[in-house]
Amino acid sequence: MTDMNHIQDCERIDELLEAFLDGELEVTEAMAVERHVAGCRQCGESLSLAQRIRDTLRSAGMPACPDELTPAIETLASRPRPSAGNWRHALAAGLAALAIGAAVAWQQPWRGNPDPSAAELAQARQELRVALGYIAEAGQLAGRDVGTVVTGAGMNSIRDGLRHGVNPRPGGSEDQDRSGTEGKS
Amino acid sequence: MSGDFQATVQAHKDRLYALAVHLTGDRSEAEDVVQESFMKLWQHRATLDGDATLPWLLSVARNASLDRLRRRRMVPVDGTQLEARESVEPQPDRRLSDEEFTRRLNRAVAELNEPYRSLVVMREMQGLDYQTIAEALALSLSQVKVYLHRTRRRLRHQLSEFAHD
Repeated sequence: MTDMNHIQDCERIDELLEAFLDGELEVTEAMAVERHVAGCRQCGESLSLAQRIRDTLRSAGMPACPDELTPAIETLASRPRPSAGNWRHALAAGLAALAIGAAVAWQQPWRGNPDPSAAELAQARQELRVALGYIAEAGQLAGRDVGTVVTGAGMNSIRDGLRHGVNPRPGGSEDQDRSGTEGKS
Repeated sequence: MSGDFQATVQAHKDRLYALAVHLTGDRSEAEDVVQESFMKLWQHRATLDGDATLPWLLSVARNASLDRLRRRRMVPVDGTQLEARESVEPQPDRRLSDEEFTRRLNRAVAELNEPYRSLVVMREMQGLDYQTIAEALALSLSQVKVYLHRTRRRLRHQLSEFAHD
C-alpha cells in the first residue's frame, strides 16, 4: 500500500470513527474500520481519543437543580394568573414578594434579630423566586424586559446575598454538584 | 394544583437545570430559566400531550438560556490566547493529565456555536435519544446525527494533543 493510499484510508477512517462508536456503520464498513485501526497507530490513537471524549462527557453527570425551586414553581402555578393587560398587577405582586424576601434575608430589626436563620433565608429565597416569576410575567404581558428594567443588577446582588447568607463558610456550595467536569477525575 | 404538573416538574427539573447551566454558565440564571420554563408549561399545559412535553421544555429552556446570553452579550473566551500562555509540556502525572483534559474539553464544548453545543449537552452529557433532541432543536433526525458526528470530530481534532496519552 502506498503512502498516499494509506493517507486516504486514514482520512476516510477519520470520518467514520464517530459513526463506528455509535454502532451505526454497516457490518462491512465496521469491519474495515476495525482492520485499519488495528494496523494504524495514528488511527488507533484517534479512536481511543474519541472514546475518551465520549466517556468524559458522559461521566460529567448533571448538576442538581436546587430543591427550593420546586416549591416556588408550585406556589406560582397555584396562584391566580394576572390577565393580559394587567401587567401592572403582576409587577406589583412581584415587587411585594421581593420586598418580603429582601426584608427577611437582610435584617429583621423589628424582631431584634440581625442574623436570619438558614430556614428564614430559605423562605426568603423562595419569596425571591416567586417575586422573580411575577416580575418576569409582568414583562411578558407588557411586552418588555421588565425584570431587567426594574431590578437590573440589584436582583443579582440580592441573590448573591441570600446565597452567601445560607452558606457563610468560604467555598461552601449549597448546590450539590454531581458534575464530573469540574476537574474531577 | 395538578398532580401531573408536579410530577412533570420533578421528572424534568434536573435535566432543564443542567442544560441551562451548561448554556448560560451561571447557576442563578439557570434557576431563572427552569422556573420560567415550567411557568410557560403551566400556561400551555392544556395544549401539550405527554410525549411532547420533554422536547417542548428543552426547547423553551434552551431559548431562554440563549436569550439571557444575548442580553449579557457574552463573549466566548479566546482560546488561542489562553493556550499561548499555558504550558504545552506533556504532564507526566496521569491525574493532572485527566484534569487538564477535562478542563480543555469543557472549554472546547463551551466555545461551540449553537446548535452544536446544545447537541453535545443533550446527547453526550444527558444521554437523550435522537428523536427527543431533534424535536427540541427543530432539526431532522439525519441533521442531528450529522451535526453530532461533525461536532465530535471537531472536538477530537481540537484535543488531538491528548491522542498520545
